[in-house]
Amino acid sequence: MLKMYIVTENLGETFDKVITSEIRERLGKYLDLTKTFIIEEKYIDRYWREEFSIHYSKTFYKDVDKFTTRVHLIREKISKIDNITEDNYLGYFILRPIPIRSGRISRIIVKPLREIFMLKDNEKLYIPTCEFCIHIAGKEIKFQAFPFYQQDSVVNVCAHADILMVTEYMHRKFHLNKPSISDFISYTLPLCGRSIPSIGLTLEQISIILNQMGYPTIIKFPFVDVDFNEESFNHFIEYIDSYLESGLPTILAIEDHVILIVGHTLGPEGEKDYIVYDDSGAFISEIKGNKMFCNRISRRELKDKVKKVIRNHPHNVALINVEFERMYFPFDSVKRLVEYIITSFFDFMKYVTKKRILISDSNEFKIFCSKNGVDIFNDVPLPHYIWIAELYERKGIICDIIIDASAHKSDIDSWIAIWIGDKVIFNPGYKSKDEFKDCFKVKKFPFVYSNLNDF
Amino acid sequence: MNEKLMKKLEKITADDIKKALEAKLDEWEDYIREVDRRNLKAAKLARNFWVRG
Repeated sequence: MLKMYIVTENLGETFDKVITSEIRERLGKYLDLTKTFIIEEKYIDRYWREEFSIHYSKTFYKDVDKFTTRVHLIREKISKIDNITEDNYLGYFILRPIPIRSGRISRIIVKPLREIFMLKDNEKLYIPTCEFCIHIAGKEIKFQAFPFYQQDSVVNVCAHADILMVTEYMHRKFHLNKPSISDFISYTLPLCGRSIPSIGLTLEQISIILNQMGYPTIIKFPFVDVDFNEESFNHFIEYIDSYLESGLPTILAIEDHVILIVGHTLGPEGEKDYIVYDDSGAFISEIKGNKMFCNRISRRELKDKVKKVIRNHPHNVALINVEFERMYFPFDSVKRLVEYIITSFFDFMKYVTKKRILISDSNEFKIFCSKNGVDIFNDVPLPHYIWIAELYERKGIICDIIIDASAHKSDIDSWIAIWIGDKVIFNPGYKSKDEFKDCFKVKKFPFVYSNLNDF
Repeated sequence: MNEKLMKKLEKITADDIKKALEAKLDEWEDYIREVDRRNLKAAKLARNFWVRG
C-alpha cells in the first residue's frame, strides 16, 4: 500500500470540525507556530498496534483499523515534503482512529520551544529530553523531545499514560527496558473489577507495573502527618527539584489524577516555574483555563492547588518517582546529611543562599570534570551513581558535597568528597589508606553540573 | 568567596568532618527511623489511592 502524504496549511481541509478543535485545544501554541502540516496517513504506531490488539480489534467499529494518522508540524510554509529540514521541523502528533473526541490524539512528540512557555530573554528553560528520529520523504530527521502520550480511557487512563511517558523517555535516554502497553496490562493486578475497560489504577498498582518493568519506584506522601506550611511545601518542591535536576521526571498524584512534572524555567533570581504534561488536560484546565498538553505552572499556582486539595485530604497528594537501580541512598538521607554539614560544621547558613541536590552517573561526572581541567577524581573508585549537593553563595557556587548513592540509608559516613573553594577533601573510607592524602588543591572552584538540556 | 569564610574553610580536614558527623549520630538515627515510619505509611496509603484521570 502506498503511503499518502498531504501537504496543507489548514488542518480543517482534512479533518472535521470536532477533531480540528480538539487538536487546537491540545496542541495550543504549537499550532500557532506551524505554517505547514504534513499529514501522513496509514502510519504504523506501535502503541496503537498494542491498543488495537488488546482491545479495539475485538470491537464492532467498522472504521477502526490498525493504522493511525501522523501529522508533522513545519514551522515554514513549504509546498512539498522535500523542503522539510531539521530546523523547520517542530515535531509530530498521532491520531488514533477511534470515534471518541477526547481519545483521538495519542501521542505528541515536539521540540521544547522557549516561545511556547513565553520565556523572557533572561529566563532559561530546562527539560530532560531524549532523541526521536523520523523518516519522511527519504530523509532522516533527528530531534530532542520529551514524549507526550494521551489516554484513550479504555485501555489506558492517566496513570498508564504517565507510566508510558516516563518509561519511553527513560528507555530512550538511559537505555532501560522498552515500555509495552501489553506489559502494563499483564502487570496490573485486577484489584477491583476488570483491567479493560480500565477503571483506573492505585498508586500501588503503578508502582508494581513500574517495578516489574525494571524501573525501581519510590512513593512519597509529603503532607501526611505534616502541617502544610512554607517549610513542608519547600521540602515537597526540593524533592521534585532534586529528581528533575537528576533528569528524572516526577509523577504528581493529586486528587484522582496524575500529571507529570517534566521540567522547569529559571529566572535571573533563581525563581522557578514548572513545566507540566497533563495527559487529559483536567489539571491544567483548572489552573490555566486551557487544555494544552504542556503548560508552565508557577510555584504559586502549584502551591495553591496543593493547599486546596490537602486541606481536607492530606493523603490525596503523592509523588511517584522512578529511580536508577543502584540509587539506594535516599534523597531524605542526602538532604539531612547535607544540612548537618552546612549547619553543624561549616556554619554556612548565613552564606549559603541556595542548594541544589541531584544524582549523576559518576563516569559522566569524571568526564565533565576532566574536560574542565580537574582530574583529581579520575583515580578515585566511585560507585555507579553519586549524589551531588551544590551549595551557592550570592556570587555563585562555593561547594560540592559528593555522596555515595549506593550507600546504606543510615550511613552517615557516606560522603565521598567535599569540594570547597579550590580544594577537595576526600573521605578516607573511599580512598585506599596507603596512598591516602585527604586534601588536594585543584585550583578551580566546583563546577555547576547538569543532567538537563537548556533550551 | 567571602574572606572570613574562606579562612575558616582552609583549615578543615576529613577528620574534622568525620567527628562533626559522628556528633550527630543519635539525631541522625532518630531521623532515619522517622523516614522509615513515613515510608511504611506511604506504602499503606498507596493501596487505596485511586487515580482515574
